[in-house]
Amino acid sequence: MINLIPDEIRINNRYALRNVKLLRYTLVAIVTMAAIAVITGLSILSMNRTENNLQAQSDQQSQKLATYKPLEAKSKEISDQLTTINTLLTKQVKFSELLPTIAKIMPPGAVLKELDFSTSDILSTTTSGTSTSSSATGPKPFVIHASVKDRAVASTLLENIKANNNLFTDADIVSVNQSTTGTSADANAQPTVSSRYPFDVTINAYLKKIDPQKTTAGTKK
Amino acid sequence: MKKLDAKLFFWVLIAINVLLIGATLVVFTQASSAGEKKSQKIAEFKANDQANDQLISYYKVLQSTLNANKDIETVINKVLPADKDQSAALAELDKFSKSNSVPIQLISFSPGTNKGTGKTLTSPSGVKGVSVISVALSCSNVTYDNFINFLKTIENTQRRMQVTSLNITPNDTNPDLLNRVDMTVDIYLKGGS
Repeated sequence: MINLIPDEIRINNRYALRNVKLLRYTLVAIVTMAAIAVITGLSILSMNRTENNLQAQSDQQSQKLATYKPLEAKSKEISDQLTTINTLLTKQVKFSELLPTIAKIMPPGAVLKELDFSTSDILSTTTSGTSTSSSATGPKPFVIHASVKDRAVASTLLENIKANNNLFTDADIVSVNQSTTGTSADANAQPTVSSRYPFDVTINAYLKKIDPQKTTAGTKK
Repeated sequence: MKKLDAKLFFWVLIAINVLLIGATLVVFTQASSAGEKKSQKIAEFKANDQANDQLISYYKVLQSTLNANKDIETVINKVLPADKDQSAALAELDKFSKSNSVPIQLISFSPGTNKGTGKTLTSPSGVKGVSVISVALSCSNVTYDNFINFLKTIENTQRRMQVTSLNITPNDTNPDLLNRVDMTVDIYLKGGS
């Protein structure tokens, strides 16, 4: 069969068929784009609503948190004060326990002439908290003035101090003097310490330092 | 004007389709990016809300703990009073001396240094947040046992006090009697360096 249709009409017909297909594609593209736009729009609307709700919730929570701020400050203040009290208690030196302990180390035939000490003798001022040797760093000694019956008692006293390593790190005798005073001519006179204990002994004792920081760290563990 | 024949219409449609595909891609990308931003914001809010919820629950626990321990504040104020309240300190020391039969000859309050000499009787203690009033006490003719009890009372009283120095001179004839005792007591107060 011979196609007698003119070329122009034949080409137009071919394009017309293609145009039908293209029109369908165009329609599909428009529908797809519209669908995407609608879905996205709806999603964003929903997200906006969720965001607003969450924002409102967050605002409420912030207001609630603001009301708790004074509570936080109060608890911090209490906590700080408790820590301070704990530090003070850790640093506490109980002289009521220390005095009888020192009295116990006095051997028979020895009495204390004078006792003079302060918390600085016991509390460590260094941060390292190491127990220092008496001669290495030269800590301030706790001076014990005692009266003893004889020189042997003085040496026993020194040994007693050295043996009491819970309280002292070391001790050195500075002097043992025979007291010339105290001998009374009056036979009825009450015997004084000087007459009963004619030797004066001076001992440099080195008290064991308490390191509050170390103690606190130990208790925290 | 040129007549819109099928061929020309074909090219117009091709152009429209290309534009539509491009526009669809642009819309899709924009929507996706907007959605991502929104979801990120929502995730942030949710995380924030969750953290706030947790904080609120901690605060509730804290509040109930504080309510349950209301007396702790009173105790702290007794242990470390904010005011130096010398009269109370004096009364307390006097009470201790009487109850333990330790006659005090002298009670002297040392002037502090932190707020101008003489203006205040407190000074820094070396412990953060605490000041001290230093009180020097002198007593004579005290028995050893009474003095030890006096020390114990000072050490165990609720108001924080610390004996910081002690000088004891025993009696020449009776070692159980103390001729003279000089001591310094630090009374702690809230505040200071």
